[in-house]
Amino acid sequence: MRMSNFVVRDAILPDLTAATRDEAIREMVKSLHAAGQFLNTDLDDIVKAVIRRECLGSTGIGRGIAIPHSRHASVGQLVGTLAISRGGLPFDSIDGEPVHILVLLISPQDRPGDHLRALENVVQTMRDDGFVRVLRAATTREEIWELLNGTRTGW
Amino acid sequence: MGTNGPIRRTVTVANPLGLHMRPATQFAQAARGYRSTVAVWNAGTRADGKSALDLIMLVALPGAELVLEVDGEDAADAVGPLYDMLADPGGD
Repeated sequence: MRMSNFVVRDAILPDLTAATRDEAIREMVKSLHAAGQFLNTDLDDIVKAVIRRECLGSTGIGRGIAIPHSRHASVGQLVGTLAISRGGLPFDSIDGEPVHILVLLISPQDRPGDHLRALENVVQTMRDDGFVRVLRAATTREEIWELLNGTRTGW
Repeated sequence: MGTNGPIRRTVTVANPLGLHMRPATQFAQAARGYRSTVAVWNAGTRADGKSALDLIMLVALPGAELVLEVDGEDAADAVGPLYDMLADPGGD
């Protein structure tokens, strides 16, 4: 599995404008909506669900990475997006460091295995310091997509 | 090191969502409270029980049979509470 299996290419945000955790989550959910992943009427509810989950315990896994997520009935399959915050966001991460790479996952209510596999894939991918460094240096949607897809190398 | 070697218990993941990020984080936090080494096995894969990320890498689905392995001076105290966390059906 690659992250490109569940990250929606058109929803990737190479330069997040949000300055807070909640704004970042909203910006990412909006981007998934703009890419046609669910109806406008579900947008606010998804944002609330992801923030609610975040309030139960930060998904900031350290080293500048966070994986905000939620289940939601509006999606038929697991979808995700990736965003890069140039300035970094306060996220109450495990290591206290600001977050620069966010991977948002929205999964259907009844597919826990897909969620666990995607989560594992993100954690595994982000273990590679070289990959994370190159990802953070990427400035376009296409560049990020190629990194997630494994078609861009050189790191 | 424990004088009697590691304590091992087989435990079935009862959480309907599997061992997802939150229970993994809570388990790792609890495991770090003991001096013993804590490992969790899923089939042939071993995770350091004190690392939430390691536990996430197990992809422990609902119903998975895990082996909890605790080794050290406080292993006898640790194994019960840690077992219960893995067997917890969870709230979400």
